Amino acid sequence: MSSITHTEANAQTQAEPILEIRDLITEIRVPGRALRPVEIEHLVVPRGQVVGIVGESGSGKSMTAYSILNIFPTAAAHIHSGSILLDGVDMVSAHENERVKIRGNKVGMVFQDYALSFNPVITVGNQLMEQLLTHGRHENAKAKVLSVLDEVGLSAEVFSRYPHELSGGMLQRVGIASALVCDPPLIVADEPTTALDVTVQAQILELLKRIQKERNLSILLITHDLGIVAEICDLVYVMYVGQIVEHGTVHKIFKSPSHPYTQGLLQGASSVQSVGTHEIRVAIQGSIPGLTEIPSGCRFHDRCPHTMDICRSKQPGFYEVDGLMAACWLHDAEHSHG
Amino acid sequence: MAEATLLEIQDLSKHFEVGRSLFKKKRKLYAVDGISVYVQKGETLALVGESGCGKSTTGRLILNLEQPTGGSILYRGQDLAGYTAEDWKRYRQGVQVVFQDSHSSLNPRKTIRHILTSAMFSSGTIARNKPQVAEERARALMAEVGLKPAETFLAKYPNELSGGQRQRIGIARALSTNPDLIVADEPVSSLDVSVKAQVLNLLDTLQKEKGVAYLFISHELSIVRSIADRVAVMYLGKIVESGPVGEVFEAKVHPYTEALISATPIPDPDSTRNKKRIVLPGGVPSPMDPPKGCPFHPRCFRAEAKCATEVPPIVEVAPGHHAACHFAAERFAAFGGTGNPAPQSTPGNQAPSAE
Repeated sequence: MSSITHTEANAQTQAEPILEIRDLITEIRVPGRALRPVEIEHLVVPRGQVVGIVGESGSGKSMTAYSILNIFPTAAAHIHSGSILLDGVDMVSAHENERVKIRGNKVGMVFQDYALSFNPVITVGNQLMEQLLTHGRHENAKAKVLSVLDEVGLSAEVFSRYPHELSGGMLQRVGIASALVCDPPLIVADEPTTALDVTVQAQILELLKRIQKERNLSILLITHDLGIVAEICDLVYVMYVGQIVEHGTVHKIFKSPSHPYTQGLLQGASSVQSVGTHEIRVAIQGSIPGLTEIPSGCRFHDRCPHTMDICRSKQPGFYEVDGLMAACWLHDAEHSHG
Repeated sequence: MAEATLLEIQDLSKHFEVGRSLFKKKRKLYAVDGISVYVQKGETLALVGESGCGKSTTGRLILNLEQPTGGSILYRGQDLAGYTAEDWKRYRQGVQVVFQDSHSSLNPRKTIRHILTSAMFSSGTIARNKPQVAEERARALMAEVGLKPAETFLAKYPNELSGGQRQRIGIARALSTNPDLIVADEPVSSLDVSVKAQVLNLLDTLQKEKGVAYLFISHELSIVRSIADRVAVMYLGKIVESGPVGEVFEAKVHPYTEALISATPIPDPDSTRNKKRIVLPGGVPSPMDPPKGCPFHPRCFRAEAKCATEVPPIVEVAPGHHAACHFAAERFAAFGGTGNPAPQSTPGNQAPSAE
């Protein structure tokens, strides 16, 4: 990032963020109880920046995305409490009629698997048109769709194609076009390249970077791939079992992570980069607990190499460590031993 | 080489016939198109490539789950084509498999104990009238793959286990016949980062202890880089480059290898943002209608006129390092001569189109 854009970004950080989540709790009702896949105290997406949420499967990343749109894959899930300010409007307290207007207009969504998310019997162009028409933008709808297709690097001919006629990479471009068609200031992208081959993934990442710059878009990118985070994000939130455990700028997170979970994730990812060493460091033992078996205290304590007594009984708050915010007792002056 | 060679594949092909109907002419899908590769005792050969390149079909051919349409597979110097029933029995003990999806490759209605012991019985490793021996072996296997206490895990059903634990059962089942080669088809692709490292570490430890060889099929280059001894890069049913993993990843003789490596994001913001990225245009062509000449030429950033017409020969650029590219020798010379891992000045070639 050049110095000019950096100061611009800083100026925008001062302005009202495009997305601000506070004390969000999302619940899933199961017989006899309610599970909480998401418990986020605070998450901010500043205007014009790319923010990554990184975590393993079961960490609640995708449920966070669904919560932002307040639209869930299962009727058992709902937002319990908290606020999600999307360009100043609270998606939690807003009426559904208002939320319908916000989805698409203020926030576009890019999903992982487009083979499943398009209607197979309607042409790509008509599906994109439908969005504009739902939002009452009848004028020049077709021209708008064609220009967005062009923006994502697809020819006009794709307009009259059916989803099954397109390759995975082309479908993902259509997916991005569909998120962009109503010109939202924010895009939530949930594992946008996970289903793609590595050479196609490179194309899609370049596309996202270019569009982000051209439109000065804000992107909330949800992924498990630390390589992609390093590649494209400005800020990073690390999630573990529904909670944020650490957040900060991408350079600081990768250079000097201060939460043991982040440290483990990064070690695991970088040890598989070393050439022919035949030594894979196992940084984190065990696997991520399910929502029915959330440990007491710090949720990471039974996998953590630095567990102390307090970790088992009490949840840590956030501590500032060299510009990063980490929820870990190690950084509490009273409990750390050096 | 001949002595230590466990499995040798010579000019192996698998062409599927598709779209056959009354009125349409049948077409051929070239899934695997004349590949030659070998696996030595106790080593890891990685087969890498994007989806549809034929790496899984190669694995299935070796496991005899598909019949080749051409070429031959030699196990311990003997061609599979001439196998007797007795030979097959030995082969099935010697060559085992770990699948990607541990959820669908373990029978949900059987306990782990049943899954492991039935593998020993049906392969003939342990006679059916010796259930006590099988039980002891099952317990020993659980200890080897790190599932403790063995008794508890043996009584469980696959759905009671996590993904990482199920993959360990898959490995235990493969080990139950004392194989000398395990075909591991994307064994860690569906696992989370932290669990992935654990399972890779287990595979590595088992190799050191038992001297088992792996044919490691994967699309993740970063993993291949740390676990494999040799690597073969596949594109559209052909091997485009093969050799010692360090040399292939450094020299990147074939442009496809170079593009694959450059496309893989590195978990380090400084180096990943500064590296010159080669973005290949388009997608992999259909294996039903592979391009003439070099199969990679329509996407290649170094392609010249002859690439579109002449199939490149497989050149041995260094001992054990092969590449199927018209410019392989020059590219390797440029790498070796300057020690520069990314030769830019091969005569007459365009610079990579880094976007």
